[in-house]
Amino acid sequence: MTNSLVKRLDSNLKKITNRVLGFDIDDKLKRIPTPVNDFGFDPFGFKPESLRYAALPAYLIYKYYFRVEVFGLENVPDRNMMFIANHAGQLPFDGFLVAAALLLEKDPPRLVRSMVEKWAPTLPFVNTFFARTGQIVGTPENAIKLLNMKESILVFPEGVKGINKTFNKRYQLQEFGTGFMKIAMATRTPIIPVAVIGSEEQQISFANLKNIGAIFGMPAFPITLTFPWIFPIGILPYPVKYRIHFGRPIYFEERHDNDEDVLERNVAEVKSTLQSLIYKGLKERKSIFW
Amino acid sequence: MKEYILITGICGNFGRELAAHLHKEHKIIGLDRREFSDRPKDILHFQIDIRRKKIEEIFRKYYIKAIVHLNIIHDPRISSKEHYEFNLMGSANILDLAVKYKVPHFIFLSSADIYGPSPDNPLFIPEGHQLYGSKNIPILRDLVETDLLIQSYFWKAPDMTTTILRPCHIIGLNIENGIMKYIKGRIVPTVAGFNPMIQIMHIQDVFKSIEMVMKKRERGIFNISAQDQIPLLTLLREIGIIHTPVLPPFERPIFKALFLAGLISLHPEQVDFLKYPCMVDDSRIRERLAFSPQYKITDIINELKLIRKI
Repeated sequence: MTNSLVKRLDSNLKKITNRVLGFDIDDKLKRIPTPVNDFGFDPFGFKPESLRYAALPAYLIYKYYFRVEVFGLENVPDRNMMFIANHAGQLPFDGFLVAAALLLEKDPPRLVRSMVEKWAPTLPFVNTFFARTGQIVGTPENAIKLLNMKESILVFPEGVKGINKTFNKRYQLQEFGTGFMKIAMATRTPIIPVAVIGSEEQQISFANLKNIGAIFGMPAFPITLTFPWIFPIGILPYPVKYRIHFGRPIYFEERHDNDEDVLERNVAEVKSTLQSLIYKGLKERKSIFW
Repeated sequence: MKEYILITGICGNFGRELAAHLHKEHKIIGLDRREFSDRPKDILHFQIDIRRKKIEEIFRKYYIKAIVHLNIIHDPRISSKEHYEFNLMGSANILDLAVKYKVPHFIFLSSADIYGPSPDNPLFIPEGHQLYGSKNIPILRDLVETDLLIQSYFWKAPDMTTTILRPCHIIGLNIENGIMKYIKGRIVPTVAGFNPMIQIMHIQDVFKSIEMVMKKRERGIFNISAQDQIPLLTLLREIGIIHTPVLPPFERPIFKALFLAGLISLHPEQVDFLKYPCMVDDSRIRERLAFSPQYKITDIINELKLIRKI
């Protein structure tokens, strides 16, 4: 009885999803080249089937709330890559929308694994949702393992400093660590810079009260136009228009991944390429909201 | 002169099965303070505590080509003092005698548990990772220390080949370890909102890895694992277990109450194993020894179904 009800609900959800998306979601998910075991899981706990349930709300947010426009998808080759993007907006919608762009707009679909903060696995239910949809805790070992498995990853080298930056620092890249470059060089993975235009205005933050954040176990406590004044929904993003620009791949052939000078030079190259792509995207943009 | 393999802790379920597995090809000596009932006649057994000085006589009398050290107690209902004394002092005694009598190979069966479950663990923990197991699970302290003690013999006794194996959860019909007690329990608690990936491996694959390191006399630390990984709740569902989810953040007091009432065997300190991953990267043993586990996860699940029925 319960099983047949679940099956009917599942079938109806699939029909609605396919009608709204305009394509067969199962067909799309089957073409994701991640190998899975007899139970449908990859070694990291990703289950492509789970994306089917996330597809409809993700598509609605992608298409109708943020009205995402994508540029330069032709620069993304059919192999595993490390995507390096700017990070902002207090909540990581930028990561979600870059991943959605590669899944929805690229043919064959590409799954990119985001590196999530280390406190995310402590959140009940959220941790399982992240794992099943392919998101991984950001440790160097996880990144190397994924790249060696020919998976693509999305890295925000600015980290917490980026996502919690105040409005006066918008579109100014914060300090980049060298960890991502070490991994890219060691695994010989090309880097694609990704300029995310829109995320840096989705919340207008004036200050970050880190000490108060620490009391709640959060990495930051932003003071924005709407947060904490309208708690908790004040932290949700404004309906800005997202424009995602994929740059050309950068190849680093040498393997001097322990040479700090080489690492820093390569990091500087990626950072300046990304900053130029951001300026180009900002120049082409006519408005924040449309 | 006859060459023997000395197995400490031979009377435990794992030790008995290992001895049964090895005794057709090797001469076996068992060492355990417990009685070895139904002992095969070709296995010599000495019922003695491994902390006793008297065990030196065995080393003096027999030529021991390898020691498989299994005699570690990890029963959450035994005091931490007894744990510490038995595990540390016993291991130190065996190690010193192994060095004194020039035993060529010392193999210790440690556990992947000593890495400790944690939200910021790499999903596949390499051998070089810090041993944080006792940070949140104090009952693992002496296991961590025993592993570190044995590691120190890599440089203290460079002529002896020292091997440490760190297997993931071991499954077997007669095994009475943490995961088997959890699965066989009348109440199988989980933490609502958490479903970590876990690794389970078949006891026969552990035997195979012991045989391989013994044959190749390979020095070092090796994680060993199964072919595959599976989420905890999927594993329970496939075995046919109805689990009892406990709401966070009250899991620790609830687990403590259930443990004190004798309703569950899982120590409340171990609740993080039901929340966070503690899986190992076994690429070192795969690359250096060409080890690959034979049992698929579906085979192990089928065996667990049978065990539940029994």
